[in-house]
Formats: sequence, C-alpha cells, structure tokens
Amino acid sequence: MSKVVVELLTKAHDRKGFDCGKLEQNEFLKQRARKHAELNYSRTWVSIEEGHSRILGYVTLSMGNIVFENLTEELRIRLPRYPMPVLHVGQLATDSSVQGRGIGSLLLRFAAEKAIEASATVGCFAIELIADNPKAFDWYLKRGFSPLVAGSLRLYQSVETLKLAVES
Amino acid sequence: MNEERKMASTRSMETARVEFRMPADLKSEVEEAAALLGATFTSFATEILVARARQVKLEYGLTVMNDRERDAFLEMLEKPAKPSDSLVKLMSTQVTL
Repeated sequence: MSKVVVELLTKAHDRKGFDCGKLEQNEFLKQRARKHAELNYSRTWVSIEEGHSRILGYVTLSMGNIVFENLTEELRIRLPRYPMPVLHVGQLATDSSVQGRGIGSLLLRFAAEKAIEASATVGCFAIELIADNPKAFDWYLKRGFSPLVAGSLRLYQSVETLKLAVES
Repeated sequence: MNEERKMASTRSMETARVEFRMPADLKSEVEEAAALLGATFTSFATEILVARARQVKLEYGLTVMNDRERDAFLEMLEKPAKPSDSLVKLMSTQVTL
C-alpha cells in the first residue's frame, strides 16, 4: 500500500500514459499544462503514488477575479476588495485506471486547502469550479459545492465555509 | 485612432510573415469588409487579430456575474453556510493504493 500525494507538475512526472477518457483534458496535461505554468497563467498539480512518477490525476489552479455587470456605489463600499479574487479550478481529471478510488476528491481537497492558504497569504474569498458537463457538475455538487443560480455550471464555496469544514 | 490601434500600427519596424488557409467564401467576406473600411486585407486582419488577442489576455481569469449571481455570491460570503457532511468528509480525504 502506498500513499497518494499531490505535487507540483514537473518534467520528471510521467505524462505520456495519462488517459482520463477525455481527449481535451489528456491534451491539456500533455501539451499545455507546463507552458501555462511557464507563462504564469496557472499551475498544475499532480497526484502520484509517493515515490513514483506516473500521474494518476491532476488539477489546474489559478487566481481568478470576479467582476459584476452592475455595481452601485453603495455596493462598492460594502465590498472588502474589487474585483474579488477567487481560486479558480480550471481542470480536474483522474486516470481511468484509478477512477472511483478517491484521487479526484484528494485533488479537490488540495485545491480547497490552497484557497484557504491563499486567503491567509494573498487574499481569496472563495473557490470557483467549472464543470464542463452535467456529470462533473453532479460530482462537485455531491462534495459540497453549489452553483449561484440554477442552470449554471460554475460552482462555488466560500473560504469561510471551507475553513469550518476543516475544523469540523 | 485609439491608443491600442496606434501601438499596433506603429510598432511594425520588424515584420514576420503569417500564412494560413481559410475557406474561400470566408476570405471573400473578409475582403469585402476590409474594402468597406478602405483597409487592406493585411491591415484589417492584423488589427482584428491583435485586438482579439489583447481582449482574451485581459479577460483570462475574469468571471463576470449578472445581478442574480452577484447577490448570491455576496450572500455566500457574508453569511457563510455551515459545511455539509460531504464537504467535511472531502476535507479529510486520504488515499492509499
């Protein structure tokens, strides 16, 4: 039995064999993840068995900003900061061979912890998840994240609620 | 001419060749539009490409919320919900294989 850990993606990780069943997400890991990190667009973190290099899953994180179509002066004063920074989860994928083993949950936990960390170090109000299909949406929903309005495939959770979950 | 367009058109000391294929009917359509503005295909395409590229870079990582989303978002921040059991469980996930 070996422990699954999360590490920052480096050249040393084996990306070649990764297959989550979705072409776009496979290609992101293989062709764009490291480029995005170089350009400071996002950072990709991978889950691996401790001491191994084969990628079992990955999550891509970046800082996002929330802006509002309409913002009154009254509302503006109420806001601690504007635009409002959030931790954005762009991609989250697990290799088909280990799906259902908790790798995705581990990566989501990791992302949520990064949001808490960011709130303490640089300022971050919430975590933002993008579900690109109904199955992914349900998967996030079942883990305690919610859309702001019905029909939206973007889900959120406040950092304060995440902190309460850690302390529980 | 706005500042961005001025920059795009005055920093062209050194040029690079751009070559790509597109459906012939779309090319004709673009040529017509360029002609309407009295622009060449090249200057028209350059202006549009640069403007769009800048917009993509500017908007990257930006989420725009309508009023309903805004109100729900601020409500979530101002009155943080008690975490659900599933969220509590998620935050203690460990995996061994």
